[in-house]
Amino acid sequence: MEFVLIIISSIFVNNILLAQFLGICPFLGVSNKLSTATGMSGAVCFVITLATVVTYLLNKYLLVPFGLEFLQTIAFILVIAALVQMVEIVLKKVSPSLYQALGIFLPLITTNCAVLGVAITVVTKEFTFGGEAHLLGLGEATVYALATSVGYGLAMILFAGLREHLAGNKVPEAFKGLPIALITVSIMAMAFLGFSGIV
Amino acid sequence: MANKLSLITKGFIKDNPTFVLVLGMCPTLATTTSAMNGLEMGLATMFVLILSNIVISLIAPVVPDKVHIPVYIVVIATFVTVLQLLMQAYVPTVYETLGLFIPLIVVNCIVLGRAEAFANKNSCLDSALDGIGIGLGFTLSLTVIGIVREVLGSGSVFGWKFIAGDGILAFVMAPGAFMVLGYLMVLFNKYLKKQ
Amino acid sequence: MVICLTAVCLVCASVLAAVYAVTYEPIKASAQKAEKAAISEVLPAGCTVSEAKSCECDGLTYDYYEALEGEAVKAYAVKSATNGFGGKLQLMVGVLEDGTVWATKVLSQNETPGLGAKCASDEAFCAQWSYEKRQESGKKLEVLAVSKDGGDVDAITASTITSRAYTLAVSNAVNVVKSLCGEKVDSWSGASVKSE
Repeated sequence: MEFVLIIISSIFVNNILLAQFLGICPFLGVSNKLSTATGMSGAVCFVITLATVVTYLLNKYLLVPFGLEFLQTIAFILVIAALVQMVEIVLKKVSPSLYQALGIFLPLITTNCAVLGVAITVVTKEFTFGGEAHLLGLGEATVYALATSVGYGLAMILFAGLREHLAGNKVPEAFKGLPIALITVSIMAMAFLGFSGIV
Repeated sequence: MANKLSLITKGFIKDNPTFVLVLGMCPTLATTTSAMNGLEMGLATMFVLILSNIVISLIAPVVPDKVHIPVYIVVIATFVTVLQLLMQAYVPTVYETLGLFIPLIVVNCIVLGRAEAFANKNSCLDSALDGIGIGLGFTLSLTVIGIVREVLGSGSVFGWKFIAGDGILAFVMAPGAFMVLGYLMVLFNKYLKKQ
Repeated sequence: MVICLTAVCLVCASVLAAVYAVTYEPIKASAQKAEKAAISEVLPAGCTVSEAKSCECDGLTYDYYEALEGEAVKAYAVKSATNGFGGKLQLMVGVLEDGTVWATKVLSQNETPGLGAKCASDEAFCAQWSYEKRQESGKKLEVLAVSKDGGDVDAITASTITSRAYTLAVSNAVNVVKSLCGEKVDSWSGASVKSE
C-alpha cells in the first residue's frame, strides 16, 4: 500500500518537473520533438534510479558511519558523473543508434538537477508515506526514484506533444520559442496542482 | 579599463544568464517565491561562481584535458560545500529557506558553463570579473522575478506588506513561476535586447 | 591523469575538513538556538528551563522540557509532531500541570502557502492557543478538536486537514503532560485509556 502512495505522490502530486522544479534545463531544451523527448526521458529514468540506489548505499555505509556527511555533495556528484560515463560506454556498445540519437544530451545528464536533487532528497528528507515522518529505506528509495522518473517522462512527453502542436500555430513574434513554451508549462503546472491533496 | 568594466556589465543584458543564455532555470523557478529569497539565491550562486572561476583559471593550464570535467566538478562542489557549511553555521534561516537548491548550485549550468567557456581560457583577473558580471546578472534577474512574484502573490515587497490578506496565490506556487519567467522573457526580448 | 584527479580530490577534501571543523560548533549552536527560542516563547515568563527529557506516550517518544520555578515544576514544553497536509508538522507546545494549553509555536511545517501555512502566522488561529489571549477574549478551549468535529478549536478557512493535524499535535502534547503528572489519559484522538 505504501508503495502505491509513493508512486501516485511522485508521479502526480509532487511531479518533479511541475512541482519540484528539478530537471528544467533539458525539459525546455529537448522537448521540441517527441522522439528526442522520449529517448531523453528513458535515459534520465535509468540514470536517476541507478544513481539513487548507489548514492543511498554510499551514504549509508560510508558517509554516515564515519561522520562524513559534509562530503555528500562532492561524493554524490562524482558518483553521478562516473555513472553517466559508464552508461555512455555501455550504450555505445549495446545500442549505437540510440547513442547517436541522444548525442550531446547523454553527458548533459550529469548536470541535470533532477538526478542530484533526487539523490539528496532521498537521504535527507523525512517522508510521511504510510505513517510517521521517517527517512526512506532502500526499497522505498528505489520505488521513489523510479516513480519520480516516470513522472519526469510523463511531463516531458506531454509537453513535447504540446510543443509540436504549438510550432504549427501563429504565435506573436516576441513570444516565439521559449516564452510561449513557459506559459504552456505554467498551465500544465496549474493542471497538476489539481492533484494535490490526493495523497 | 573599459574592457574590464564591460566584462562585468555584459552579464546584465547581453549575456544575461536567465533571459539570454537560459541557464540555471531550476533555482530561478524554485527560489523566487519572494524578492529576498531570489536575492539570497543569486548571491549564493555568485559566491561559488567567482571563487570557482578564479581557481579554475589558475589550475586550467596544468590539468590534463581528459580529466578536466571531473576536476572542475570537484572544485565547484568543494566551494558549494564550503558555502553550505558557512550558511548553516551563520545564517541558518536563509539555509532553511533555500534548502535543496544550495547543493544544487553544483549542477547549475551557469557555473560549469562559465568554467568551460571562459575561465579555462582567460586570466585569473578576467575570470573573476566575468564571475562578478554573470553573477550580478543572475542575481538581478532572480530578484526582479522574485519582486514580481511577491507583489502579485503575497502583496508585499521584500517582506513589507502593502495589502491586507493574500495576493494571487498562484504566483507563489508552481504555475506562477513559469508564467512570470515567460512574460518577463518576452519583455526582455522586446525592449532590452535590441542588439 | 589519475594522479591529477586524486591530488585535486585530496586537496579539496582537506579544505572541506578544515571548514567543517571550524563551522561544527556554530552549526550545533544555531540548531539549538531555534529550539531554545521556541521553548521560552511557549512557557510562562520567569521560569528556568530544565534539560531535555524524553518519555513514551501511546507508543511514541516525545522530547520535553520542564519549566521550573525554584524547585517546583510549573509547566512543560513538549515537542509534538503529526502528519499535516504536505508533510511533517512539528510544534512546541507549552502546557501547564493541569493540562491547560499555555502557548504553541510551529517549529516546522510544509503546508500550502496561503492556506495551511497560515497556521504559523494567522492571528486569529494563533491567538486561540495562547492562554493569556484567551483570558482577554474569553474564548474557551476545553475540547481539543476542530469545531467540525465537535470541539472548541476554530479551524483555518479551507484548511481543515492542517487545522486537524495542528489540534492533534496539541492534544497529544496535553496527553503527554497528563501522563507525566500521573492522570488517566483519555484523548480525543481515540487513543487507548492508560491507567497509572
